[in-house]
Amino acid sequence: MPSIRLQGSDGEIFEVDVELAKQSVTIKAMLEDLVMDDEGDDDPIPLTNVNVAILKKVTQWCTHHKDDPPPPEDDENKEKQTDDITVWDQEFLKVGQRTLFELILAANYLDIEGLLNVTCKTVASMIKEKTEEIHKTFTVESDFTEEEEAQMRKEKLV
Amino acid sequence: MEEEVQQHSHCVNCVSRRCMTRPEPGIACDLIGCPLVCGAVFHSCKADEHRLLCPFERVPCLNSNFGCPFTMARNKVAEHLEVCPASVVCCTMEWNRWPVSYADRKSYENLSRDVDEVAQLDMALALQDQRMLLESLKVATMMSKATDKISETREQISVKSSVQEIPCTNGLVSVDEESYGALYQATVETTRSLAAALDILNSATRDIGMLNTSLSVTTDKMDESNRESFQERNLKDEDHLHEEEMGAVGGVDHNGISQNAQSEQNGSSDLLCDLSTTSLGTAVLCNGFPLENMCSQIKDQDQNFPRDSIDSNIENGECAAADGTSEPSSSLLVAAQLREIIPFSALPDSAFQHILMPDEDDEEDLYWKKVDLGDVKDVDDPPFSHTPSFKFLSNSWYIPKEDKAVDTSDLEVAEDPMDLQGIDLITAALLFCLGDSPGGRGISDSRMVDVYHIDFGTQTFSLPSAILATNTMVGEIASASACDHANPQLSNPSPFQTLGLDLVLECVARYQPKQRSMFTFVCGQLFRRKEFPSHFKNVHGDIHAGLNGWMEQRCPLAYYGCTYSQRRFCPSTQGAKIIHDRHLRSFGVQPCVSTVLEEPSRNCVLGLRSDHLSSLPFEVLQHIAGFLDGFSLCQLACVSRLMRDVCGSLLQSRGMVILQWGKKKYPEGNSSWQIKEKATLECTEASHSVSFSC
Repeated sequence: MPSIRLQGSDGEIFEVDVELAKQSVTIKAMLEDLVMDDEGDDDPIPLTNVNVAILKKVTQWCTHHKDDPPPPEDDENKEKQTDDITVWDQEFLKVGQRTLFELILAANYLDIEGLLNVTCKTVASMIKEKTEEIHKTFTVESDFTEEEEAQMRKEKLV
Repeated sequence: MEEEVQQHSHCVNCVSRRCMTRPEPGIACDLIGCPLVCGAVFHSCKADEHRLLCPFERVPCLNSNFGCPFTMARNKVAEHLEVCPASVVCCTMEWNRWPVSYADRKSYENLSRDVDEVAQLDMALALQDQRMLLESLKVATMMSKATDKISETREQISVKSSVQEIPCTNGLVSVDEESYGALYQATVETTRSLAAALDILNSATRDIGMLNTSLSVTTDKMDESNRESFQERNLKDEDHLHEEEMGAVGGVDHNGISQNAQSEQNGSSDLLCDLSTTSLGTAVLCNGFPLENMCSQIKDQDQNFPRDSIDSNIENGECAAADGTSEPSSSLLVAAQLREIIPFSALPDSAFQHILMPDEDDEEDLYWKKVDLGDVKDVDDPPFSHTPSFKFLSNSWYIPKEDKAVDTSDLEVAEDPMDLQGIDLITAALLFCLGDSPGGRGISDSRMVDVYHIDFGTQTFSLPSAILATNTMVGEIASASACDHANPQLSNPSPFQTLGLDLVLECVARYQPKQRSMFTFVCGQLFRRKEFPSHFKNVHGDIHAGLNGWMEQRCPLAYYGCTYSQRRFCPSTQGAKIIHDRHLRSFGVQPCVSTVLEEPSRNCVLGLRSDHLSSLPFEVLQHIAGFLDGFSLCQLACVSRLMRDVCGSLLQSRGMVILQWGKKKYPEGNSSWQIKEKATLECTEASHSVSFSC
């Protein structure tokens, strides 16, 4: 099966199957736009925002989901669920926060809708679980003044 | 030209899609299709008219006047109305609770002990109801309204307050010097009013006895020491007299010229001045006791009305006409001639009565005697046997009153003008609430004294009447943090931590009459139309209905203080549970995320924990927030400004528009309600739909 070479942000070269790589809309557009002649196939495709470690994880996910049907169009009125994450994806995403967020960034950069949805749903589930401890869970520092916090609680204005 | 186009004689009545009429100026025009390609064909002069019907025409939402910002194709309006942010539904679900009886109070204190540690839904909802109840108590009485009217006609006493301004935190009411002075004034007026009311009540019983029996006054029980003390007081009061001034009831110089202003210690004199009219012969009060009613009857008993007793040596407590006339009004005459002891009803031990007593030396003289009613044992057997011989008190009994304010700014201001006795205003308000709330600490005990039910005060704190004199919302000055602040001074636990309402929910239909002691709570939360069904089902149908031992079951010995409870049902999503958020005042579903997201140990050891969430691009954060329900969005919005902006970007699709009304007063005097502003809120609805399983 034909393969392409991808170069991560750390300079490492990673080889991946073309069909798997085409699940990424970004890589697919690159492949379509770049003129690939027989002699220039050895040049790797630079991916400056993704390191090789994350690329391997993304490849692993794409390999498992290579036969998935295309996702339906996003209906704004349709309620978005977070409890429909498959067991395999749950196991796959049992990683540290840093890795999870790097996967989100990679999915966003590579434009892989399925991976982006499942990773965002995972974060949303974490937020739902830790509604009163979001600060602690994600180490987010509050920059509100006391008056603003009191006002927000009072009016529930966003 | 445009008018000619609109008034084509042929086109006005032509609706044919295949009209073959030849275009002629002023008669007919050519056929065109809809520019938006809706399929309609019409004469060109009807283009504007077609825009009113075209399904593809972009129009504002039907709720645009209510704040909806969206425009959409006309054929999408119906679909949009289901999710329109201005299509807001207010939940009117009601439920009821009984207050905790005294017998159960101890056990409820035990149940409330571990509230912060154990998340029990029934306790959480009951405490939420209690918070709403306490925050809605409005500490304003009819007396405060009366004092407002009185204060308008009075001179303002300038008071230099030495009390520091109470710090304003958490929306508490701050007391500045200007309002403090008014507050103090209102306090004084309220105190006077209350004392006057007490005098009226006490005197009313005296009135009844006087009308029914004719009593005689004896001189046997005249208390020389009391008379002397009154003489001394009279002399002191004379220092404040003014010539040709009006006098206060109960203390007037006998010569009819000077005024003996009654001490303001009981606060009755000035108010009586107000209650009495300024003209002679009208409402007459003798120490708050109306004389007119008894005058006619007593008049018949004794026709000897001396009319020249101006020179009689009347001591403290006697009235004189301001104009010095020797001709008293008839009512004054009669009253002045009373020489009897008021038949006492059973009155509190510490009450004193001012009665007219004949002078021991001269029967023509009368003086006010201060009698300790605690010594009176027998109501039915008045101690006096004399038939009353009425003597005139030398002058008109009633003297018109005039307010005289005294500038006390040069006097030393009391350290505690509000009479808080060492406790702060917040604590005082809470104590007042606790004492007055149903089932709370009683402020009085009812005792039987001589056939009468008398309430004896049992308060162990001083009620600052300033609170009564204001319209301050207790919730404004008694927030939860204030209760915690005042907790050490409260003899009862903080009302926000100890449950005073029954844990059991009652649902009494709105049309059914309810007992006054039963509290009714209304949900009152606002939801988007599409989210209301899930809210009603989840919160009211499942959670509220299941709190009485169905969803959350308590130990059978909970009455004796056991706090154990177990959830019999949980959401169908594995690991999820129902939680209650105190700030949002709503329930939510908390999922159990199986993903173990732990930082690598080396990072933890090094302390390298950075905020990854905030470093995500804004559109990614929006995508994440799109998966959250309203409950979680509200929580997320309180995390940081960035998260707040992210949640705010979803307001148009997830929020709702609330109209905030304000009363506008016009120069003509009338007023009307107008929309002040439109606020966008985040809906607090939890998960879309929750099904429960055992």
